[in-house]
This record gives sequence, structure tokens and C-alpha cells, in this order.
Amino acid sequence: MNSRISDLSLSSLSSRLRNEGLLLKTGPFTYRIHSSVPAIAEGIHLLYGDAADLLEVDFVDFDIGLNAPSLLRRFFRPKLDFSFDQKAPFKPLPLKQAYAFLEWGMNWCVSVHMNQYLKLHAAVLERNGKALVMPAEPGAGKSTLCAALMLRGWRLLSDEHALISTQDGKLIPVCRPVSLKNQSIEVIRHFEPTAVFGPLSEDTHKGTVSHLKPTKCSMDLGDDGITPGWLVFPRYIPESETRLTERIKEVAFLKAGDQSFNYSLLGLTGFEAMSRLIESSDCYNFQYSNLDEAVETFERLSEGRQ
Amino acid sequence: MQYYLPSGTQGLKLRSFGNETLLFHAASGNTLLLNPIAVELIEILLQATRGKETLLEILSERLDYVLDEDFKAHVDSVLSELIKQEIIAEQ
Repeated sequence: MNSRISDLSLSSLSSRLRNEGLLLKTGPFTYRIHSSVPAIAEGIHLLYGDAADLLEVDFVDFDIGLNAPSLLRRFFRPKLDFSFDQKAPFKPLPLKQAYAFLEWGMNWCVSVHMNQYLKLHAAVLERNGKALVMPAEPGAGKSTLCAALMLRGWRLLSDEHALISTQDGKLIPVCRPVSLKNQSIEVIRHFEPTAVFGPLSEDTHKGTVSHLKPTKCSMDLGDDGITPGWLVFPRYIPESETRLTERIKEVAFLKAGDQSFNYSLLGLTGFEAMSRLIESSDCYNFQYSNLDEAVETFERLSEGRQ
Repeated sequence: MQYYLPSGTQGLKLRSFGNETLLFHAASGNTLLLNPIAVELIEILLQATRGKETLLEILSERLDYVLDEDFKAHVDSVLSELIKQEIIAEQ
């Protein structure tokens, strides 16, 4: 059996991060991560424990680092730089936001590169061999719903990026921790007390952020693409009834396009890939306030009882 | 006055999933949701360049509308919008 990151001791992992860099494969992408920050090592050890421990790869897609920009910044109002191919695309952030900065940086790598896929800002899960794609603008409750479904047995493909193959229209798994903000963290802790969370990053531009560890089955089920089955636009509305309503496909097409990172860039290829997604998917709007009811609704949907 | 599609047949893709019709316009990269008159106008012009009167006649026949002043005004406004979007051009 291949070894996993959880097989490494925290000190070995820290040493790898400080020296040669840690190779981390998520779906089709390999990151090499350099960092001397303890919170980065702790977060990776906890949240990516089920990922393969790779000693060498043929190709690294993203070479990234999180380190203090200067010696002074290690001690005085400590801050961190995110580096990509030895360039710093962002302003430094406070050290206490280190782990969130890593995940945001990893998201950024995929968002601005990898245009061989049609990319949507969406959560993606799988049940019974079909993918559920949930595009949403920030604050719509996508990640909370995604976390709840994953914790009730749906396989997580991604909390952030729907990567759609422009060749066959399938959804590519890029399983990484689920990013939760503010009240959502407590909501999910209450929903599933055994859920494993990484370090809390406080006072970020999104408020308090923590990342939820993917379930083992999500990490284990390989890189094969999944055929789309449902395209659902979720919206959390406090105290609202749980309601799943069918959506006109042509309108869903445009709405999904609004949540794409590169639809316009891909031109006709993007149009064809989006067409395949819409053709293969039943399209819905979904409003919710109660997570148990939401999960039950999606269970029925996956069993064709909706 | 003749109307034609400057992008030709290759630069436009129409797609319907059963309810409405989407148009991909390669020159601008835009995707538009079309109303039924716009769909018919584009489909007619995909076959050949047409003058206004011929366009109106074919449209009223296809859509089973009476060719009255209201209908003409409505087609004019759709044509103007498609010309503004550079999907249809005049010559």
C-alpha cells in the first residue's frame, strides 16, 4: 500500500516543507510546497493526511511557498508572503492567517491557470456515479451545504472548482479541504461533531475561516472523471422552507457562465463544454435553511425520487 | 437595404435545450438568450441575405403572425438590437 501524508510524523513533514518541499497531488495537479511556518505543517498534516506521500513526480504544476518576506517580518507584526514560481502575486498577510493563505493560494493557482478545463466557481460532489455541480456566488451557502453532504456520505470532488473536461464533459476530482466561514464553522461542528477542522484563521477579509478535512472516501476514489447529473444553484435564506425548483436549462447555462473563471476565454470550446454540462444535467434552484432537510432533499434527488 | 450575418455560418452557434434558444457569437465571445423572433431572423439569414420586406414575409409566415404595423415595429426593434450586437449587419 502506498504511504500517506499521515504516515509522516509532524516533524518529518515540517522538515520536508522547510527543505526539499512537500509534493502534494490533488486531482490532476501536483503542488510543491515550501514553508517554515508551523501552522502550515500542522494544517497539512491534519487535513491532507489521506493524500499520497509522494517522494518524486515527473512534473510539478505549481511551485509555491509561504514564508516571511523579511527577517524583520518574522518578529515585528509577523506577516507571510505567498510565492508562486518565486514571484509574490499577493500582498503579505498576517501570520495568524497562514493556513487560509495556503488554501487561497492553491485556489488561485487553479483559477488563473489550467485553462484546458472549463472552470466554474462551484462545489462538486458525487453520488451513484453522477456529479452534483453547485455553482454559487460567495455567501450563498454553497460550502456549508457541500460540507453537510460530504459528511453524510456524498463523495467530495471539490468545494471550490468545478473542472469540466473540454474533451468529454466529465467533472474532474480535485479533492481538497472545504473552506468554511464564520457561523458556518459552528453549524457544521454541531451538524457533525466528529468533523475534523484545521487551524482557525481569524480576522481575514472573509472573517474567521477554517477548513474541514475531506472524508477518506473522497480522497481515495481516484482521478477518473464523473458524468454530470445535476446542476443546482443553492441559496441559504434564513428561516426559509427547503425548496428545490426546476430551472430552465438555457437560463441555467447563462447563470453557470456567470460563475465561470474562463468561459469567455475558452470561446467556442467553453460554449460546447457548457452545453454538454447542461445537456447531461437536471437543473434546479435550491433554497434552504435547515441542513438535515437539505441533505434529505439531495438524497431523494440522487435516488430519482424528486 | 439587405440584411446579412457578418460572422457567416461558422461564427454563430444556436443551441436549445427544449425551452429557449442560446446563441454563441464567436466574434464577441458573447452568449445570448434569444427571443423567438431573433431566433427566426438568424435562421432565415443563415440561409441567405434578405431584404426587409422578404424577411418580414418569411417571419410572419413562420411564426403565424399577421403582418401588421405592430409586428413590423417589433421586428424592427429586434433587428436593431441584433445590429447593435453586431450579429446582423445591413448593406
